Amino acid sequence: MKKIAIVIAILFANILFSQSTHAQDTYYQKGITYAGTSQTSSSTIVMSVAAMNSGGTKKDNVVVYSRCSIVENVYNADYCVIKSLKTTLYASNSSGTLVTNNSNMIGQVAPEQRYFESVLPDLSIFIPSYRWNLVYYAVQGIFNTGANATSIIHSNNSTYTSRSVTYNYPSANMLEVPSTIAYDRIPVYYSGKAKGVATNFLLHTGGSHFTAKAQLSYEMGRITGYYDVYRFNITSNEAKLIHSVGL
Amino acid sequence: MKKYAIIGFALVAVLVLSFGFEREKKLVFNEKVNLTFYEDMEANQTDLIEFNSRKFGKDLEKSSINFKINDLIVKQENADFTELNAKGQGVLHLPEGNFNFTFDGMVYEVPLSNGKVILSGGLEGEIVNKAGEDTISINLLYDYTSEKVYLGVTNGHHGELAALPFGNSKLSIDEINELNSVIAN
Repeated sequence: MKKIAIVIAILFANILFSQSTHAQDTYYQKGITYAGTSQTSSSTIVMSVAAMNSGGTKKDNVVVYSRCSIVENVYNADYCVIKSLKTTLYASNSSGTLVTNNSNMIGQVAPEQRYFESVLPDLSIFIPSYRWNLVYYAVQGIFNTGANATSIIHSNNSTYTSRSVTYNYPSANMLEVPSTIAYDRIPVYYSGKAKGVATNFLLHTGGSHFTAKAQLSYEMGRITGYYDVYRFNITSNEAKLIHSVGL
Repeated sequence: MKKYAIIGFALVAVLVLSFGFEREKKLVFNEKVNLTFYEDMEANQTDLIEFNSRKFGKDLEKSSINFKINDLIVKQENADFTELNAKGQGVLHLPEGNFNFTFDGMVYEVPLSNGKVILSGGLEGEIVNKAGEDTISINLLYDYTSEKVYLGVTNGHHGELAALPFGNSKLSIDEINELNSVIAN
């Protein structure tokens, strides 16, 4: 009986929540960043961030694009596979505990209106965001149901001020962008198309500045003989963007 | 009476089937640097080993690795593969010192079409190498059938990598391609 009551309560909570996301939300583009190396200028990750703040509801939309072709070129690889993507949002303008190297950030671009089809959280994937002990999350992650991956893992830091979504083996078709398209042209080039893996965050905090981060892990393989293949994991630099959620 | 015999037989059959492939909970590997691979890296992969001397030191051909998975926990099982969480630790034995590391990550147990069962995945962790605190990433490729293993170790990330290849899985490129396409689907 108790179980049924809990299930009904969760269903009700989801209905309540989903009503607010039915409408189309107006997001503002906050910036596009890439993270490469100073030596080769080879960027292995591109991240685009948009945010909205309407009627007390704050949301962040973090879209990541991959550059397997650059990994192949730089490392003379015979193949490249995208192993994982980790997208994190911090409810502050600090960088948290992660080490950031060579993250190249362009200034926040002039606010530009962008429209997204709002993401209606799927019941089965939304439940893991909650815990029975009713912990207050400053940031809550919900992922775009269109993002295919072998597995998707949610995690948070010990103070519940950041939220991460890790995609293991995310769909390469969605993520990969040819190196011929400059990073700052990507969102325009693929406007309206299903490109990039989007992670949406709900921000339950009064803070005004947030930090979005993303990191990709690739596998490069090299063939020296039919039975002699060696492989290495290549972790991208970390893309980082500190931004506000207002206009 | 006949009914009990059938139930008993069914129980035995289930037990036999479930123990047909018994996953080892712990895996321990000791491997030397693969010289063929390392020579190829020195000739063609300068970006990959750019920081080798700074992070690992000299005479790396004499290096070895001790690698131990303490526990494998099933996270997801389907018809094509099993996803497991692996945790453990190891030691890089290099001519200029021994460097301890810990790791955690997802590995995939995949039965190939030719009957081989492979364990493949990427493990991430922390290490203190010659240059100081760093991240370590291990690419694991283990053939349960032949018990041959390959461990590709990198320290740092793109742009400041040090890398060493250990062992050889002796899996063909076709088998590796099949493996990757099953996991990535």
